[in-house]
Amino acid sequence: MLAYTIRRLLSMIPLLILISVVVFSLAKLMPGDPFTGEIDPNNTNTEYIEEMREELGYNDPILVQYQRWVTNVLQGDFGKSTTYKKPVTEVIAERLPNTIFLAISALIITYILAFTMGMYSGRRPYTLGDNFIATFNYTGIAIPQYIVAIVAIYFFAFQLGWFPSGGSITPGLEQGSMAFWTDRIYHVILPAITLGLFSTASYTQFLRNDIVQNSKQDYVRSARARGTKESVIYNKHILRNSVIPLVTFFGFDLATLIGGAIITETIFTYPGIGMLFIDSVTTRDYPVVMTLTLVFSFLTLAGNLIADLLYGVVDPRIRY
Amino acid sequence: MPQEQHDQNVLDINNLHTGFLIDGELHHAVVDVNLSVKPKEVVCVVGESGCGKSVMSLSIMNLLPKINSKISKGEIIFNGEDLTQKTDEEMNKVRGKDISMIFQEPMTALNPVFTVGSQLQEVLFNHTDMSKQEARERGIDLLKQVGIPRPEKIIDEYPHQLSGGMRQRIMIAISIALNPKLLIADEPTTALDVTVQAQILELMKAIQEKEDMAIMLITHDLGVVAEMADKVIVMYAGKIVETANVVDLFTEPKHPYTKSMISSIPRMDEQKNKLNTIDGIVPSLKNMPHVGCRFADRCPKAFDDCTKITPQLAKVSDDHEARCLLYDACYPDTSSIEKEEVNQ
Repeated sequence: MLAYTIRRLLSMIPLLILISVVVFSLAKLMPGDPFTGEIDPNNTNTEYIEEMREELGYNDPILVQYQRWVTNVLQGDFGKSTTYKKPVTEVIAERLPNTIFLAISALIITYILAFTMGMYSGRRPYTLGDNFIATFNYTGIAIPQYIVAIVAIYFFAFQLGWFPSGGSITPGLEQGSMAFWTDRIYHVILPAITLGLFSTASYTQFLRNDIVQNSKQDYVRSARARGTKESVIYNKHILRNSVIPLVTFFGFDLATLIGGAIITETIFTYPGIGMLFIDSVTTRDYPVVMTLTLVFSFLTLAGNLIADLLYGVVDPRIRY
Repeated sequence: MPQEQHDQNVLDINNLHTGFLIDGELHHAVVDVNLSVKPKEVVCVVGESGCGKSVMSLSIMNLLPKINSKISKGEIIFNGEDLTQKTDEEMNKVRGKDISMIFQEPMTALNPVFTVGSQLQEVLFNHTDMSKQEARERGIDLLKQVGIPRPEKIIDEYPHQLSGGMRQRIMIAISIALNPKLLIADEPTTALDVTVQAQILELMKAIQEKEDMAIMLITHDLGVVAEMADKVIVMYAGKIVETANVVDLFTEPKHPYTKSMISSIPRMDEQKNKLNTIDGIVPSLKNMPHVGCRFADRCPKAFDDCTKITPQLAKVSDDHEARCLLYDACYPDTSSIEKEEVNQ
């Protein structure tokens, strides 16, 4: 397993190089630069802006700029945010915990809903309950996330007033206190449900279908033939087998959650890296955009690696 | 049958009808099956694919999918109780303890994600209060009994690490774990290669003699029948067509179907260019003839009556029953005509 992990990590290097080229090119291809929109060209001396561009290296040949960027990144220097005038790592580090908190909450909601509904449906396929769950899920997956988010804000925040419509915390609470954490959970529930519902549909239907398929397997019949209770057959024998393909979903999910958070966080004005990404694109904050894209790419790769390693844990037939 | 003898039987199946719902209609795959299994007896049920052998055995275990099948008539008496009347929870107490079953496909009969030991111990935990340690020891002991080398190691291995023959041995170990009175084996050797087949049959025979259990062996291999059986039941298209002890069946087969099957066995002492076969296939459930002998259109000896009169199972000589109009005893009396109407 260790050898396999090392091999996989090494094989990530060429991918990361490729990603860095794409990320850099995309950033360069975006029209404008940090001075666009930030500085009023009518009030500022254009020569001064040109001078600044020269000083910051924006006029150097692309290859030189790329080499400079990569060298810095490899040394852990991701540059300075042009908007916040702080190192990028610091800006991201401030926001990252919020996003991780949101992603984990969403994942928990997804798992609770998907396992409850999937196990219910899988055991009673083609019944009224199963059809109801399927309808709910397919409707859920068909409605775009931003609509779900806006509708959720309208009903639960404005009409019913159950949840706040934005933010991640009420200002002025003592960090680490009980009230601080309950307030954070209170703020994260609505965006987490919106984000979690998105993956719930695919998880549920996949789990349901896999349970239905597994329930026809020979090993189920032989378990029945030795007098095993129906609940044990479903909750132990079948579920243990049906969890295996869900691991693949987990791999994609890491990236999907962070990616999905871009929309959700923006709508809920939840200060995580998703919202930071959108803001940075608007302000042409290259260093932040590039670093975040790198982080997203890296998370996708890491998610897949974790999924592959998890296979070895949940499926005894797979050994690395 | 005298009451006394009846009581001694391990299993009595009376007038069993099992059907499948196809497009909302019930079609019977097993019709009017009557049979009994005595203690320590090996009863072989033979017939082609689609003859209702497996459906009958699954009916005994009540393992047929409830959604599209049901036992519409008859009783299955085991231990003085009618198994067809039992709920699933009640059947769970019988399955694996008093009656156990092994299946055709050892490669898929074990759950791939649990160790051999955990599946073996499951049957013990289902029916006894054994502790983990006791169950493990009993498990190792059982693996030893079925001839598994290094049982202490194999018990912690996963099914994919073992060969087909080994897995079938493990299935046998699971099925004999609680000394059942009856073991139903549904083509246990079909998926195994020939040398392993012989080993598995020998093992079953040895265990049967040691543990005093009865075996109902379902097979389409007459070689297996000759080796194992005390009594043979030949089924065709859901009905029993002949019942005899093993010697009589091979020396004096009565039903044309049995005769054709026996003549289809390749023999080493005969020089033949072409192997005998039975033309045609078993009619499907939906195309089953309602009147007449179900074998009539494939039968070399069919005559006019065969498609018009439904034969009944009757004694054609001592301890030998057949269902064929070549024997006068098989012409139906009025009561069995009524019986036939139920099946339509």
